[in-house]
Amino acid sequence: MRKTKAFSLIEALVATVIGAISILAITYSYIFFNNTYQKITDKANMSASGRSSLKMVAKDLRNAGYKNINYEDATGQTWDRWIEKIDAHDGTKGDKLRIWYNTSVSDRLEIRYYLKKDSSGETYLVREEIQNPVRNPVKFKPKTIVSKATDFQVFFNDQNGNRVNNVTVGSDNQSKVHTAEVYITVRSPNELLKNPISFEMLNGGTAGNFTKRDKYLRETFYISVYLRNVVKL
Amino acid sequence: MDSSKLNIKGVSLIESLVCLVIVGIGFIGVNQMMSYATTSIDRSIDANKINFLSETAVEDIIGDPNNASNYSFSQQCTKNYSSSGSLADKAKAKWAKHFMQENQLKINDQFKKLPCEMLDSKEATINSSFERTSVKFKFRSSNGKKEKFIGVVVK
Repeated sequence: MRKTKAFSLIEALVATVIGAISILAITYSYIFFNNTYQKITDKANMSASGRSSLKMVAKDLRNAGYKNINYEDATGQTWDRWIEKIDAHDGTKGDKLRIWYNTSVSDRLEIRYYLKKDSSGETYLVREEIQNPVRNPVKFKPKTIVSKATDFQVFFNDQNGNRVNNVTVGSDNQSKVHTAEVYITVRSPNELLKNPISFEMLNGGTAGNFTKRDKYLRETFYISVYLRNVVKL
Repeated sequence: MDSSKLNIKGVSLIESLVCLVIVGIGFIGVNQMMSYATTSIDRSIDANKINFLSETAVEDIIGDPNNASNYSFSQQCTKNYSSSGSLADKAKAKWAKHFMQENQLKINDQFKKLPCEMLDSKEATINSSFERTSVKFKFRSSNGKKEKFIGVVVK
């Protein structure tokens, strides 16, 4: 009877060791699964942001310079603008892209893409719409299309494949544009790396111009678009 | 006390160890699934980029429909086009560069390349007839096992 009343010291020790190993294994697994889940979710977010934003930019670029067949210049409505790029917009390293096209016989739409800085200095990509920008502008609040965007670069090429710089409203270079290349570098929402690594956002530009060193993951998405409406102008 | 009751008092050491092994195998299974999910999401990001690059190639051909026949392209894991005179040559050099992800993002001083195995390839085939010109851009991945293509009539 006495023999079966309780655990022996050895049994208790073995049970403790097995219990400790089990708890350690479960804790490690929980941390590992949690980190992996975070990594997968963040990567999926990056992929979705890159895909949806590039599709949006590409669609607007395809529309750039579209002029309604019945469009007539009225006072203050000269057809003088269809595409523009401004380098290093508002203290960011990213470009500002402006696109204009007709939405009706008399109205135009202006679309702007640029990076904005939040309170912590991190950048995000926005799309801003302005209806009837020349005669009677109606501005809409900029919409965030990539919440964690490190870089946004646009380059224009002419019909011979050479780069066209200084594409601004009023310059002849606006008419020389044949294709546009867009680079968007998306950053992971959370720190996913154990140790900081260095990233250099070349994105069609000059080496050494834009670098970062941190624990976030980054991916660059790229597309080139033929500006079919600009070419026809 | 009844001796038959003593035999059903608890779980033996062997039983608990067997349980642990079974639970451990379960954890290893979930672990494998997590690893698979991570590689799948990486593949999905790469597939995304490849789709845009294929679209880029097709857009370039749409932009130069009269010279579409000059845009035949084939590349495996090494870059074999360089920039030269014509628009088609420059476009093909551009695609080749972007398929290697050069000039984009450098991580620890290295360009992050798209995965490429021996039988993987990127090909642009142009079919011209009197009535129309069409382009098919084909991308083979997973050592040639997976194939995706995009096709358009350019003229």
